[in-house]
Amino acid sequence: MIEVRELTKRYGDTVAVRELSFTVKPGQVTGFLGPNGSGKSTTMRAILGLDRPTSGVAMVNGRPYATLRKPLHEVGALLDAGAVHGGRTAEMHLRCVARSNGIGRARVTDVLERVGLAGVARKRIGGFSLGMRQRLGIGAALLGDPGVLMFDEPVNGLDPEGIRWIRELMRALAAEGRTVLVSSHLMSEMALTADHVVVIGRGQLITETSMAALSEDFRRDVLVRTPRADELRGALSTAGASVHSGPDGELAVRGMDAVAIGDLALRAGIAVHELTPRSASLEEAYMELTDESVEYRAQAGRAS
Amino acid sequence: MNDVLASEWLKLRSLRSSVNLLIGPLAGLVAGAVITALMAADWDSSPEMRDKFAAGDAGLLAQPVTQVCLATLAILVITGEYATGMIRTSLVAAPNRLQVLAAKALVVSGVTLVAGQVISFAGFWASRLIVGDRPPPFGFSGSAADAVPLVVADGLVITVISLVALGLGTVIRSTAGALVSVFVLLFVLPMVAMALPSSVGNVLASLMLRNLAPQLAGVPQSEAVLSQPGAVAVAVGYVVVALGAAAVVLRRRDA
Repeated sequence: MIEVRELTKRYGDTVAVRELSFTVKPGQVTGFLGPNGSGKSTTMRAILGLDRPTSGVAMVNGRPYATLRKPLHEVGALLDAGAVHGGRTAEMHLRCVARSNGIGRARVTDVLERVGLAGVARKRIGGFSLGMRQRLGIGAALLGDPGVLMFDEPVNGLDPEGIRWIRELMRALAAEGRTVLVSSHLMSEMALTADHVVVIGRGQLITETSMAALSEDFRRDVLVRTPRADELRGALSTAGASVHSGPDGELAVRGMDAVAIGDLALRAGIAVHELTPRSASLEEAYMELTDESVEYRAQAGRAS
Repeated sequence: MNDVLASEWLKLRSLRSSVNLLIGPLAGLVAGAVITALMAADWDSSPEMRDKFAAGDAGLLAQPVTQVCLATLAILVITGEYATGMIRTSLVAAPNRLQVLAAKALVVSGVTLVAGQVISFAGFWASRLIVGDRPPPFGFSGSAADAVPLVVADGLVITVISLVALGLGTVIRSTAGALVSVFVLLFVLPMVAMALPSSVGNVLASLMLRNLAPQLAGVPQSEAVLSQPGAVAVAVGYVVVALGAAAVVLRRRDA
């Protein structure tokens, strides 16, 4: 369980996070979404006690992170795969981290196995690819077998096989009843992994909802194909729906759901060949949600 | 605390740079011994020049080399983490920052106490063996027991310098910046003190880290200003100020 309440973080004049509140519940994967620079990493650093909030609190299992004695047993985090000393071997890096929480060498060996780095355990991290470093960072997060896991952009630099591995790992961790918070700036990634989403932009909460509800909110219209389009169009308009005709004679109906449209067509004795509710893709929904809050945008057309 | 301490020790000994920085003083010692041996040969072969000889002491080279190497080691204990980002991993694993700093200070103390005393005593005995019974000023006067306080003090100063370096490294966070400030403290400020009028300059010189050893040992010296307890207070003061500043900034700053 992670709780963020009224969190505000300022760096000089810049407000990175403004009065942000949300809760991350156990047993599901919660996606933490926002464009680059929206405050995701700042929020995660505040939860982990690395950055001190200007105001507000961030709690893990009901306590501020900094008060945890052996935190790796409660929380595992991958913030930045680069946060390692390249001169150490993978095994030694994990041993150093593990030792500070009283975790032994046997667990380090298990974890290296689990993240697929057993073969390079004795190699220096300096020679690792970004994908291998991500796996090592995930390994560090798993060391204490914690109930709460946080991953900041974990799929960066992973190949497709690695991306699938991490997706399955996160789903498995949540299925074991753990709290899993995963940040990303890619909706498409979250659509495949997350059950719940917290969307932020410019450091403020845009929405906190389930993935299913998010797609529901962005239900667009109903596609209707019928040989008697003109008649049905008239009937639908009379019933208060707004109807647009497509190039192939199909109808795009808003303001009435598929059930109502089907019933109405039946009453009018009009055959319906297709009746498809259409949603904006989650990607589009996300673009729409965060459109206002994109911090760094390419200035289209300026160059010419 | 024990776990964090064990982790810091593991971190130190798992880096190649640590090992190299401990080899540095040994090289300085060997070079010092070779130079002393050459000087001794020179002394024997040119009786007419003897009034121009200073003391044959391998420590003259070994001491500054050891001070610089172990100060660098102490700096890297913290700046190595800032440079690589490891500091965030470390502070997530051990969120009590004062505990982390204390563990680093203990590890640095332990390593430099051992290495400093070993080099200091090895330098003394090497010199004594090489110089033999040649008379002062080239050879030693007095018994080995008389020399022990100064030899111990030389070693202790290495630990003091290393702890100051750890504090500076924590405050400055950059390896280059911390190294420059340690060099200024060790080698530039003493030159400034020498350039000042002797009334001010002598006092300033007596406070310099590299001049503390004879005063700590209570060896009478013409330019010594500090009493033995005074020298101890100055040495402790250096460490308290440097690590105190480190503790304040480490606690306050975002990692």
